[in-house]
Amino acid sequence: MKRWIVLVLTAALGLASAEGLGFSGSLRTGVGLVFSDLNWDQAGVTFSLKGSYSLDDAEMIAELKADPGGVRLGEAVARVFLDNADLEAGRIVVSTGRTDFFSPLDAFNPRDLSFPLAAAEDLKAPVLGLAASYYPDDNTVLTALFAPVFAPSTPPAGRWARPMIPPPGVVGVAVARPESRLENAVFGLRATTSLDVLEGLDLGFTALYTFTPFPGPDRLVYLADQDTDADPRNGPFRLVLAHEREAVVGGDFALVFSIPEVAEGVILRGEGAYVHLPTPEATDPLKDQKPKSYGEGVLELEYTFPDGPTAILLYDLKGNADGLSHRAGGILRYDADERTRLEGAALYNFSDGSGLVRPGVRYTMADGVEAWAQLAYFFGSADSEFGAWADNSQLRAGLDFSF
Amino acid sequence: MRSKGLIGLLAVFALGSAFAITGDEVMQKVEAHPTPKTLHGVMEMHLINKSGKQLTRKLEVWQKDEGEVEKMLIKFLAPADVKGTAFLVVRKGDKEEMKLYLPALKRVRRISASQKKGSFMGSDFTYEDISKLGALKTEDYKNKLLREDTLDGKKVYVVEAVPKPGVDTIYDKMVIWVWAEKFHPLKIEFFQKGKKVKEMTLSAFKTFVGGRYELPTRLLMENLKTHHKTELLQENLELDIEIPDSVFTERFMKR
Repeated sequence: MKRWIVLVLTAALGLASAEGLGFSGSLRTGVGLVFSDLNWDQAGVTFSLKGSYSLDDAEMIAELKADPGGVRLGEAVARVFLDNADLEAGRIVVSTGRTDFFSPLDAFNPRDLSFPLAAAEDLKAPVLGLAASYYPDDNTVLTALFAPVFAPSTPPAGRWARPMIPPPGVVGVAVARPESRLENAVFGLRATTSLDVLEGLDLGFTALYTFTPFPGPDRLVYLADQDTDADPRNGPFRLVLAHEREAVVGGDFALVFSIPEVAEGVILRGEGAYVHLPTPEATDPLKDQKPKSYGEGVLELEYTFPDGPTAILLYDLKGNADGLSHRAGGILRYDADERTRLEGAALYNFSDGSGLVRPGVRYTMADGVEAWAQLAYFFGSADSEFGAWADNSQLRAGLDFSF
Repeated sequence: MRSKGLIGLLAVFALGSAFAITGDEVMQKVEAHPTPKTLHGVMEMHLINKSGKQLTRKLEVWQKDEGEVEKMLIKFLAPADVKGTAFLVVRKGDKEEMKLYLPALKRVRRISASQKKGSFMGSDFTYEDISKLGALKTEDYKNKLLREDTLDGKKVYVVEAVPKPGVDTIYDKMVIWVWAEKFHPLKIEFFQKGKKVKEMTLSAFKTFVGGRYELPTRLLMENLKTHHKTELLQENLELDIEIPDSVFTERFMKR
């Protein structure tokens, strides 16, 4: 794998030096200082090198990434632009949603949580696949997605990893990965269109047939050779985790409207999705721990104050047979001048009382050179969504160089 | 003059003949210039702060004026960190749609039209400067000839243009220095709440389409409060060429 990475980058850089035109890329670095109970420690170092080469009707992109999850190849694709269609193949990253932070429809790519504080675009793992888009008219796009080989999501790594507490009687855990067969392929369709309603309306419909991003409890295997008390109900067991097939169906929209004399150009975005999962057998001892079908809806309101900041507010509601959970978020972005951008984000989970506050600043030192600093503060109880990472609250800084 | 946006911003400074007595007559001469239906070109924008430090943005611009419908697409060519970012504006009568494509997120997003009164891409131009300046209608302003003067050795008419009640603009007055020989504005001073807030100078006039259009290829806008300047240089301008509607689409934004 690493040899392939080197070959890809060498080829890309060689192509660039040979042609000297149409090549661009970026080099991004980041370091952090984690703080907890007045103790400080070095946090994860991140690095990425991305290059792209453009022709009139084609484009190639390759990316190398390093973070606490290791060194790996990121997006590596070739895109071809035809008369009224586009084709994209390789290790692709696609977007099938519309809202920020919480986007239940944006589920084609596996998650990459090796470094949870990465930029939004880096939290999706590339997958070997094909995306074909057809444009029947100037306002409508039909996209077909296909990934023949299952790719698992990357769980949080290093100090971000959360310990798993096995159920009683379990002495080992194994992960069953879907075999590489056609029936395990991931595929989907997305259609979007724009309508002349109020000050503009975009609509989207998405259907994906994929897998749960992370493996969940699937079955207990009785380890007979280690049985000591002769009662198979008490174990010892091996817990087998597996990815369940899930069908994601839903719609999304963006609507622009104005409130006379109050606010001009307000943007309302939304997504609604139903995620269908198999129903476990009534006799399944793990049925209560298995993921259940659920519905999720997100609403997002964006407004830019005249000569002021852009504010985005989000609300996410998720529900299944066991009940409802809801989260909220906000983003505040202000360009103080052409070099300085102040940006703050906050997320809060109403169901468990945990959250994340993330203010930051970005400064353009010269064309293509940006320095940034950011604080990430997690709060909540140890078993909550964000509080589990309370020990990872940190101050980060970095330098991005684009060429 | 119906044309707006960059087409109008450039074409408002076209040819005329040299006799004007009242402010209205001067501005009618300016307004009478022919305006191109389409524009395509590369622009270089220099953002210069008060200590002289400079950032450069290079943009490719397509613009089309179909009367009731006006379309403009801007793609960033440089610097590399914003390369590929695209900005689309479609205006139909009073309705205006603005969309932004950010390559990193792979999403085209609608953006708020309220941003049009703010800075245009970090520059000293507001979106209104870019989109409305070329659409100045003589009848929307009370135009008063203040005096005759000279500017850089050229004879000019200095005209005060005050918007009439009901005209939607962020400025309460402009003072326009019009070159008496050719009826090109050479300088515009912008006033808000009675104070001069910005000043734009126009220079490097070139002719296009066999002399049909004569346009400035260098615009310099200075914010007098912050002493920040923006220089806009036009390169390789093509006027009245065929630009298909498919350029002004989300698909083209992503390419």
